[in-house]
Amino acid sequence: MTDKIYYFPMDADGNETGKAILIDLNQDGSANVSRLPEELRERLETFGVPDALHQTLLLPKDGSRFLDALLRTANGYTRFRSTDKTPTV
Amino acid sequence: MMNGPEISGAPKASGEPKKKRAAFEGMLGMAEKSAKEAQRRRENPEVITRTTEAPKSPEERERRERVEKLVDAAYALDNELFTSILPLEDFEESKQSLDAVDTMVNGDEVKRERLGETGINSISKRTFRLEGNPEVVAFVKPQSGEATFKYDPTTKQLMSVQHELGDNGSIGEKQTVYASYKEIGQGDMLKSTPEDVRAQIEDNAIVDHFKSRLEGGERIRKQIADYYGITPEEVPLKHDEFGPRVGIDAGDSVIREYTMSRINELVKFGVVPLTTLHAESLTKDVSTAEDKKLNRKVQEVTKNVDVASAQEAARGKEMSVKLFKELKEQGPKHKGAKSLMRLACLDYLGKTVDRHPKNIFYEDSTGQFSGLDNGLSGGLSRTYDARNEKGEPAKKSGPIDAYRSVAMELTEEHDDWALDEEAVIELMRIYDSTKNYLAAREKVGSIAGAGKEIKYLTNLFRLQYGNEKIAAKEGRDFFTRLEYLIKNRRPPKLSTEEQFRYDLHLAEDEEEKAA
Repeated sequence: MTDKIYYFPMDADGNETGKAILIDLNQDGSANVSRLPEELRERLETFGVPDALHQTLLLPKDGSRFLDALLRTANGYTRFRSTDKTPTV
Repeated sequence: MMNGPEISGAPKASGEPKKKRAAFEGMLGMAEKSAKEAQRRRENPEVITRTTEAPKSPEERERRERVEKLVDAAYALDNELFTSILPLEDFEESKQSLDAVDTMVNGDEVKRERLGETGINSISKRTFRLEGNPEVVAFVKPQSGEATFKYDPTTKQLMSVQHELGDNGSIGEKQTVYASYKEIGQGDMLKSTPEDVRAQIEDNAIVDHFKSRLEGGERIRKQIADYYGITPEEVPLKHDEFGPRVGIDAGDSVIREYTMSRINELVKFGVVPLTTLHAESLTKDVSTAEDKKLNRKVQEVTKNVDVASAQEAARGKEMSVKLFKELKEQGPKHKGAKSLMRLACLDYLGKTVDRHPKNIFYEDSTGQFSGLDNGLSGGLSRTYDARNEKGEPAKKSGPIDAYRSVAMELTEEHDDWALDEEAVIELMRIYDSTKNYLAAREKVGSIAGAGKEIKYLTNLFRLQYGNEKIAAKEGRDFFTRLEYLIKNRRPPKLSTEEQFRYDLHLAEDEEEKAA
């Protein structure tokens, strides 16, 4: 199960523009999205991310399931990775 | 007279020394040239490409032939659409689209960047180049990257299956056991399942999904067969492998992506990035030490290992919460209102069940929306037993999986939000042409060159569903939805769909009770 992933900020051409930002788990098991840019954080907290079947939307409170879903839905426009790249925070 | 740039410190040459210097410089030049050539050759070795032999296994050979045929068929349909179906006045636009298709299908891949995680998400960003055409940057999703779910009747186990492309070009499976099916839905199942799958099994939607396919499989098959006028055996749903929806099987999401893009091109809504089918090749460096010494690279190419969707990059960014609120509040007055209504109508035409905010892009400068990830569209429909308004038993028909579209939800918030005139004219163009053709066909039989749109659509659906009768029925249903849009200038409200879901569950309950 995923307990930490990184978000890579990108420009409109899909080039990485900044250092990786860590998303890990809080003590209560929820995902800690507090370090993300405000717009993205708000989007994830409000809309959530689809689960494997695209039936249910997972929210940060769903913890590692939410992190797995972010990895699965990463695309050319929003990049999440479970890499060991050093995070900025 | 134009003078060349003056080079600071350059010797001023004259007379004999000039000749010597020239000779010396010539030698230097040659040496430099030769060094540069050596470097160029090192950097650009001679490339020898060999195509691997056809696989020995007949199944694998057939699979690759299917990939090739599918991509070829889609390419032929594209030529037809862009050269003879779309209006002549849009020639320039059609030519650009066809050039982009050509580049993504036949061009050389000059750059590839993997974006997803291995074993989780196989999307990559690629640059394609074809002489005479502009380069195309596209996001490519191979079919093998689509996760499916399998049921093993012997062990009664449910598995999540991740397909992986092997080094030899064949597709292997990596399975994760979800749970024993017999345990699903029972209170004590969580005790016997590993920690990492527990949370997923707890998800009622997934359990419901598996239960309806496993327990109601034969019933659903019959309902689909009734709807399309086929036998239950002809229903294109697998018995032991499921996709993420009841009426959408796993294994062809790239074709659905492609179909949705072509419906968008046909109605000229401009809300889905151009998507093509692309045959994946596997390139392996088989250079020997001798080859390296001779400064050449030998590569072995295995063709048609998988079919992929290649989608041109969309402009803008994902729908934000702020944008969502603005659209809800401003409705048809919002800058992007026209485009969002087009997307809502396209979602209705294409039977979309997965248009959540993450799949909607918006470019603020142009007010343009784009719908991405269309792999869950065009599901099957069925006829089922339900109740009419008076509570009497009645047959009802409709898509198995309910529409789900944020675009449809948002646009139904405002009653004065309507499809723009230009878009309605495009729909009427297709509708009138089809209606005239069908009327004439009834009188004089099939007419060559007429009814291009309906013929094209039926061919498109033939490619997607692989069944003649389903393709024909889907073509007719498409025109029913098109007619609805022309009359109402907007898709039906989703609340109607909610009613449909309620009716469906009611009917299923009744059936279960009766059983």
